[in-house]
Amino acid sequence: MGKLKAYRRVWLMAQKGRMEYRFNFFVDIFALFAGYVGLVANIWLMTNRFGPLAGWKFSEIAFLFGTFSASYGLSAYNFWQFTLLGGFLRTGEYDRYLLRPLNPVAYYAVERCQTPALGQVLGGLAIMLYCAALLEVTWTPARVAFVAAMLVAGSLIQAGVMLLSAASSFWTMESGAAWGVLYYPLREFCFYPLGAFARPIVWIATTVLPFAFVNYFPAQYLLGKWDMLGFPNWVAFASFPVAVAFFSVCLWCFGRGLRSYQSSGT
Amino acid sequence: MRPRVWVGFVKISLLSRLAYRGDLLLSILSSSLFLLVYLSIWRALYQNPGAEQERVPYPAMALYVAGGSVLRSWLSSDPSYFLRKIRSGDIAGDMLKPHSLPMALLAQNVGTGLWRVCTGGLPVLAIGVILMGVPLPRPSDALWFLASALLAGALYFAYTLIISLTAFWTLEMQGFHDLQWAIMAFASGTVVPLWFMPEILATVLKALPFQQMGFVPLTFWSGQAGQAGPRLLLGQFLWLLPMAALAALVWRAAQRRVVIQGG
Repeated sequence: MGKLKAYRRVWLMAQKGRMEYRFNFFVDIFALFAGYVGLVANIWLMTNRFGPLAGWKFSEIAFLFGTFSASYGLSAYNFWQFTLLGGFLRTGEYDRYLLRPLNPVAYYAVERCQTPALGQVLGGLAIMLYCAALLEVTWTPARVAFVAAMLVAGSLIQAGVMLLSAASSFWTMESGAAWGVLYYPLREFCFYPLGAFARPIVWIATTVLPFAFVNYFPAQYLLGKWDMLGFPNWVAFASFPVAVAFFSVCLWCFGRGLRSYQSSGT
Repeated sequence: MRPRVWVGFVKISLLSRLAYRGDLLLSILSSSLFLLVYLSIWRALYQNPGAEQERVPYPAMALYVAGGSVLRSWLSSDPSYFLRKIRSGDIAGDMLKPHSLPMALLAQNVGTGLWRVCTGGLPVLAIGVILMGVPLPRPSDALWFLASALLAGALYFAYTLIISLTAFWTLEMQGFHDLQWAIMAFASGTVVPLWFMPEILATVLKALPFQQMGFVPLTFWSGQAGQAGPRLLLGQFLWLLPMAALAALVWRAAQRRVVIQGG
């Protein structure tokens, strides 16, 4: 219980620090939000003149996008700072997190939480709910619970990738070069219906980095599409266990990295 | 600035890139993945029958997408350059040097851009041609593109310089600088060409400078310029003049505004 209180205090301090620059804070949120609006606008422009993409119309694709954005925001709020870990390792700043009597993953996650990412959560939720209304999705308690589980699963999967990139920093001391460079194109597979891509990509997005479980598969149930690309229908309900398993593996990798870590000495 | 100093800056910029060649393969892989994503999407969209699909056939669109990845590698200037320099305090040292800082920056950007085209843009294009069935542009179109891309580069440099210089007044506003990526990604027409936009939107975007740094050069590359070539180049040039003048003005004002925050 005492630990939880400590985390709460660390979190409150971090929030307070962030809010010192209030105007910047809102500009940051707006910029993130605008970037995502631009992406959705591009999808609208494409489908407006060309018709549905792989059988998915605009509101359905935007629903996928909103789901992605909300879960990405959740993971970024808690874990995006891990993609910067290399820099903290090189300067020796991360050692501070190892010296406190708190979990080095949780402490770092809470103290460096990325408040502007809340813009993505809110924006994503808004898009998702608006599209659900357009598509006449009927809300039942079971479905609400399903959406909550889907968002948690989606954020665990993406947080897992962020942890993986951080884990690599323990050996390379680079700030997750592999992260930014590979993550951004890979996550694009979450923006569009997977059916638009070639088979090998679909397999990578389901098995190697399970991005398809972030939004594509669970959305099948919510939208009643069942466009499963050859996978069985129950896969639509598998996001949560897949996410927990994937996140655990990533966390384990991070722990391995941490054990082999020797401070750079600066 | 003397030509020798200028060439020196271009060279140093090229050499400092060489130091990070480990990231090279990763960044080629990354850009190839982006190319693959956009080619897949357009290919899927071209599966639908429709008027647009007939007006601009798929090979032209594949050219447009692949040309976009070459163009992006060339436009390398950083809209938050001065923000970082002011934050770190390096700006003081930079302004003490006996040459024009914007010209030095331009030289560095030319070096970086050349490096990125040779090690990123062109290899990715080759991957696209060999593995993803992207066609190559006609040689004459490629030449037009070259001229247009040079103008686009100058225009983009002047634009990012203005945006970057606002940091002298705003000091800390990362979000404002990040916003430029969003604006460019949408309004430059690099992702969705202006041909496919609703009339009103296309008219608005045509009146703005952003499409001069994306849509216009890519129109040449994809062989869609037709008779309009000289007019399009002139349009880019006419935007460059006021943009460069404005950049020079802002730079002069910024020099009087400088706040050194320490290192």
